[in-house]
Amino acid sequence: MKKYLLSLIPLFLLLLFGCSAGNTTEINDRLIIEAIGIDITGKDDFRITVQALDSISSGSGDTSANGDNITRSYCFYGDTVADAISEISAKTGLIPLFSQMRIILLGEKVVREKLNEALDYFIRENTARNDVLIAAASGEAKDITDADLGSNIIGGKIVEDILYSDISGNISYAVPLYKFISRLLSDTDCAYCPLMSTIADEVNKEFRMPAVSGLLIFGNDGNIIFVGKEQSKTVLLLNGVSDKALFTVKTDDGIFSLRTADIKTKIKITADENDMPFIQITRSIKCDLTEYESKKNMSISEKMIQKAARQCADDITQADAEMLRLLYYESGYDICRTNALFRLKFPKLYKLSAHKKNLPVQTTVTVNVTIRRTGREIIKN
Amino acid sequence: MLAILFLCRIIALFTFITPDNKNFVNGDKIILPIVFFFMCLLFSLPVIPIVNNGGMQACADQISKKYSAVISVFYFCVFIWTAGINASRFSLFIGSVMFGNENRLLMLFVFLFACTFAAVKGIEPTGRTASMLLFLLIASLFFVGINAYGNFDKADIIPPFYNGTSPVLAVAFHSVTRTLEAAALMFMCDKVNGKFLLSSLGGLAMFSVTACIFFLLIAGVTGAFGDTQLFQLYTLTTVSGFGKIERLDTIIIGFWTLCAFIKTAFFIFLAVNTVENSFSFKANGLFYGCSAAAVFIITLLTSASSSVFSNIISSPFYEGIFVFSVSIIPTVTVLLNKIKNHKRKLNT
Repeated sequence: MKKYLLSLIPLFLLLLFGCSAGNTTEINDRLIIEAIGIDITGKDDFRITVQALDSISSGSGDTSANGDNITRSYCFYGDTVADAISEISAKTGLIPLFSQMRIILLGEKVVREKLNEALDYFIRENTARNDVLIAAASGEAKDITDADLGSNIIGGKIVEDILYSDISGNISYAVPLYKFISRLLSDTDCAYCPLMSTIADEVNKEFRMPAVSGLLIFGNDGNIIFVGKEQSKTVLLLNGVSDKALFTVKTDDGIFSLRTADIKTKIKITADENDMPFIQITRSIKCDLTEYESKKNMSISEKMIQKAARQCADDITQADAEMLRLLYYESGYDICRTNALFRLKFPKLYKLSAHKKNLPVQTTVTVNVTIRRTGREIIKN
Repeated sequence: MLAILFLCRIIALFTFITPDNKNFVNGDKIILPIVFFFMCLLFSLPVIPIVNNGGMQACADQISKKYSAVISVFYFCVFIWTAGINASRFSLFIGSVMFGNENRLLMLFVFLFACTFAAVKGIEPTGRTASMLLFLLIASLFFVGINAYGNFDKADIIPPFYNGTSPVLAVAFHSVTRTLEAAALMFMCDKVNGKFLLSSLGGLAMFSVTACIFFLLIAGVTGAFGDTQLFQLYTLTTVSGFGKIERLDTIIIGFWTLCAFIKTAFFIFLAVNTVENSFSFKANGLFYGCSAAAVFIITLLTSASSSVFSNIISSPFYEGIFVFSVSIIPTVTVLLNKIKNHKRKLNT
């Protein structure tokens, strides 16, 4: 017994002091990164713009020009992203911590020329989260990571919020890194990520706010195309990236603003008698009609609601069909993952037809919309 | 016994490294545990008569004392090697995922110290710890699975056997040859009460079902990205979240460490116990310490980098160890036993 008790002493000592032995990194030795922008400069070098928590100023009580800012931006250069990141420690004396990182922004040139090289580092970096959001920047990523959004604001958080809920369409553009890479690596799918730019703030023209412009779609042929907000909405809803959207429906009775409460999309793939794939997309969408600030809306009859639901279903069907026609049939971009689903269900058939550029599929889209009158705002008032 | 075997096997799920086989698609992973289960049974068939005859030690003793000594030294080396490789996997995990920049030598030392201490205490405390851990592990895996399901997309799965059956069979064989618990059964059967073979089979079946479910989730959630990652279950947990609880990977890190602890302690105990019984002596702390030092050296040599480790576990040497310890030696022992018994009958 005495022997065991004595052997416990070094163990306790190790537990007490072991944590500080060796190369332990304290939190104030870390550069806590919030957002990172990757660009290619003229010399084909990588430039990374790091938006990090300003631990230096806050720690030293510095109240100089940047003292009231929570974050600080740094620029580093290197032949590769890894080289540029290794510059962080060399120039700031701090060790970068990627676990708090919210977003990776890629400049337009990076997206078009060196996408794989830019992302390779983050696939392998053990402190970076795999579900960090990814977005492309129209022009340079630095413009967004460096944008002055006001004092005491974490810019990366603002950009993240914009991606999770774009104000104009109430739609989520949040594409995590692992999903993006998974689609890039797949030989059946097309990857996509939001494209962001900066626009002048309506109130204070000096400020340039980041905003989503649409989606960039990466084809298997190496081409990248841009789709606007309306088609983006359909792509994101169909792929389950976003489960919220705002539909504005015009009928003879007036204009209805419908907010989605629940979206269920079923993609059924069958083969006809000629072994040709046939795709049926069925979407059931439940929308809320909040009926706010309008006495007129209180007199909406059930007939009007049904008419609005039919109109909404028609509009969405139209948008889906238009998106499929443009992206799938005309450009050959499989954004609905129909090829992957077809391969899962009919692997032998898929192997036979895989050599063809596009599967000669026939697609039907059915959309059912039900409207629920919440009256939430009226009750509030 | 069921708990120990399940925990020893579940490490394989935690540390599953995608095989370097381009034809092996993510859907094949879902089928892999089922093929693994039957292949494991097939290779372990020679173990059954040994277990039914009172274990390897008893069978070898019946043949000759010299044979028994050679066998026990061989299995001592096999078990120490298994414990070393297990600690090496753990060390690699610490170095690549957990604490990339920290001193893993110190951690490894503390880990092996704890394992040796547990081994000195015997099989009973290790077994009880394992049975308690089993419930916690199942609960945590269930929690992780439920949360991961939210990101599941069946379109990410490439159908099983997409490139034929040979990639699945090749990877299953590769996995089976890393299952040295079958050899452990031959030395444990005289120390465990109850239906020994049934509980061992139960542990293996439980592992196969759990692995099937998790490989399905890994394929459906991480898709092609999962194949680029070293530890895929860990990747699955990093992308699963529940409300404000975003870092489910810490749960897996905790249980991974505990499972690695149980497995290493079990194999150190088994190694020492094998020579103890054969040479009829009572091993002291120093002997356990020397065995742990051997494990430590194997760990240091095999965990220099992930490529070194990958080369070692992919080498035919590993397959040779398995085939010898689980199939050839038990078969030879059974045959020699039968010949000896037959001769004895003729003499009488």
